[in-house]
Amino acid sequence: MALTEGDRAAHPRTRLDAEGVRTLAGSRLAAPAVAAGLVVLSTLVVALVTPTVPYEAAGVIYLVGVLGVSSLYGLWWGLGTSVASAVAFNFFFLPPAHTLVINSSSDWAALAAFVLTALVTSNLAARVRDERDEAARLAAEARMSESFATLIADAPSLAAVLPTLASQAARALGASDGAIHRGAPAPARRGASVLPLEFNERWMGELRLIDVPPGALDQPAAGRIARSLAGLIALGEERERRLQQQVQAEALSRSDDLKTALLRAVSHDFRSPLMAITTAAGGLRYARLDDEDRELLETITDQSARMSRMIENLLDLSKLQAGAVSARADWLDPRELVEAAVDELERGERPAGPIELDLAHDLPLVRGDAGQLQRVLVNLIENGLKFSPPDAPVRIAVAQQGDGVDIAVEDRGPGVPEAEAERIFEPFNRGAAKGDVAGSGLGLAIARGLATANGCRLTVEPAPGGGSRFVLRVPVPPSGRRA
Amino acid sequence: MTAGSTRILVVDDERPIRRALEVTLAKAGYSVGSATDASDALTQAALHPPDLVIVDLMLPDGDGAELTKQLRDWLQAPILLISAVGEEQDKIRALDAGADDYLTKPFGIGELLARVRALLRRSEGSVAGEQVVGTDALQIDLPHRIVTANGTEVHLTPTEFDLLKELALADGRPLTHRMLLRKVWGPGYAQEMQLLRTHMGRLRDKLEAAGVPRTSIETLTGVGYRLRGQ
Repeated sequence: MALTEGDRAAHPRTRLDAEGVRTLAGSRLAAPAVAAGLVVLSTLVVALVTPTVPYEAAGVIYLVGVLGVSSLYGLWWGLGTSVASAVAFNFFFLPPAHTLVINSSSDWAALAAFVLTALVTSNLAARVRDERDEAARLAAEARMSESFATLIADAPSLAAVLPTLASQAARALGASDGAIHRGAPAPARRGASVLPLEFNERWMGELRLIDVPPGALDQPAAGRIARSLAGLIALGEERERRLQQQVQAEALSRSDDLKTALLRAVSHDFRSPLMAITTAAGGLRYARLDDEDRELLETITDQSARMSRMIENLLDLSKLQAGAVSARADWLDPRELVEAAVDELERGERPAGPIELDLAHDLPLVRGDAGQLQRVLVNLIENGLKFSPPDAPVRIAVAQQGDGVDIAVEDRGPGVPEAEAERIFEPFNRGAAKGDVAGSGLGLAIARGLATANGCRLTVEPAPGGGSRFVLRVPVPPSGRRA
Repeated sequence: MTAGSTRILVVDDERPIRRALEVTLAKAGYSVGSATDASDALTQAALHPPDLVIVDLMLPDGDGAELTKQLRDWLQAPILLISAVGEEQDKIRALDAGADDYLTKPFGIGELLARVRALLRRSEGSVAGEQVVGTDALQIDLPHRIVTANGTEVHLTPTEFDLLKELALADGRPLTHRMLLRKVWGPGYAQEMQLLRTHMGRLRDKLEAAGVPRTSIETLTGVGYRLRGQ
């Protein structure tokens, strides 16, 4: 599409034009001056050559001027130059000279041919000029996009490079300066023009321009620049996000490695000496010892066992708090889970106390980590036994409730006040019963942590006949239900 | 075989634990050798073939499961594993590789000696070839596929019978979930825990109804099952 000179006046060409064109076209007076100059120059040259060349042929020299003006200033200036050349040629060279009168019909034909040739030449030259300008603009845009991409690739952050991008794009659009605004679209301020930046229909921000030439934003180049900018901002954003993820992942993996290594070291370093003490003390059971020595030996054995339990608890708690507990889920029979927990307690070193079981038959299978859920139950039962009067049994009831299996551990202890119902699951919080009840205050915290890690819910409520009722709700996967 | 001539090889890299085990076992009348790592253990076992090997699951030059596998290639003697809490997967690998039993730290010396005695007793007389296996309360007549609990017949489905039979044939050794699934259902069923849990529950129900405690089949949490009292 060829733009008229009038359009050009209204929309000064962008600064993407080729360097030379820009210099020549710099002044508004340049076009008429150059056109007049070339007509005068052509007239002088024709005057110089006419003694030897027939004037009809010498007229061709004017075409050089028309060509030059068309290619520099476009079609309309070219046409003007053609008319001026025709008038000058007629006035100076076509007989009768120094008049605008033409006598011979062949002279009429020559002038007509000249004007026609000049018209075609102007048109062609102007088209070539427009195409050249367009090519120069596209090349400049490509260079700009390349420089944008390099800027974004090298920049430490997207924010650092946005001002440079904005002012380069602004200058390319003929504005004096610009800024890229990344937030929500804001109402344009007076005197500021705004170019929205969208990438795949996603709002990437807007380019706010100062002193933008009228209409510059309606040109195809403006759309191309906006798309290129938006695409690069999206790219920069993506790159920043990836970089951030990478940094986070590295930090996370470092801290995870550290936690795991630390826990492993601590567990090994604490357990091994205790294991050696327990084994060595056990070896002394064959020694000939008097009653007092045997009492000392029992103290060593009992206290090592106690310390060992405390270390296991601390390790479990730190693993839970470090997020280092992973549940190895498999199909479990809730009944078997409870029986194994009770079995573990009954075969333990300390007398377990009375336990009463009320287990429904044909319970659905559940999914969870057998070891971890058994640990939850052992801790709950131990807690119940600790707080119950010696002869009052701890009652364990298992039944299906909706889409889960509820394992309830009921004791006849002092109960848990409603205000404490959540606090008792915090580490080192031993609830209302203090002083006379042994324990580290970690059992319930570990139970809650392991239950959560297995997708179960652990809560406490008052038991119907007094005391507390701890309920472990284990969800039943659809395929766990028995036929 | 008298205790004095029974040779036990202790494999543990922690000197205090190794020494405590050596001294205790020696006092209990066994002849004890020791090794600090897997390669040392292989050398020791080749030089003085032991009647029983006690292996710590965590060794500096490899794990107990790998050592078990290497020993099992040529050694018949029972292998007892010593493991820490949370090493279930390593235990399972070692049991699958041919270990006979395991103890979880911390354990009492009494428990260790009881396991050692049971393993040695079993290695002397195997249940292989016997027609009736089981415990005092629970008799499994293999050729007739009849189970009697305290003298009364217990009616089991073929799957429940096979499950109980495998546990009884293991002669008190732990069987991993995988082992049971493969033996009872077939190699393609090694991961079908739902089957095992469901049938084990029903088998226990029937045994309980016949007066055999449910815990006669011990749940080895995260590992497998074992028939108690053999």
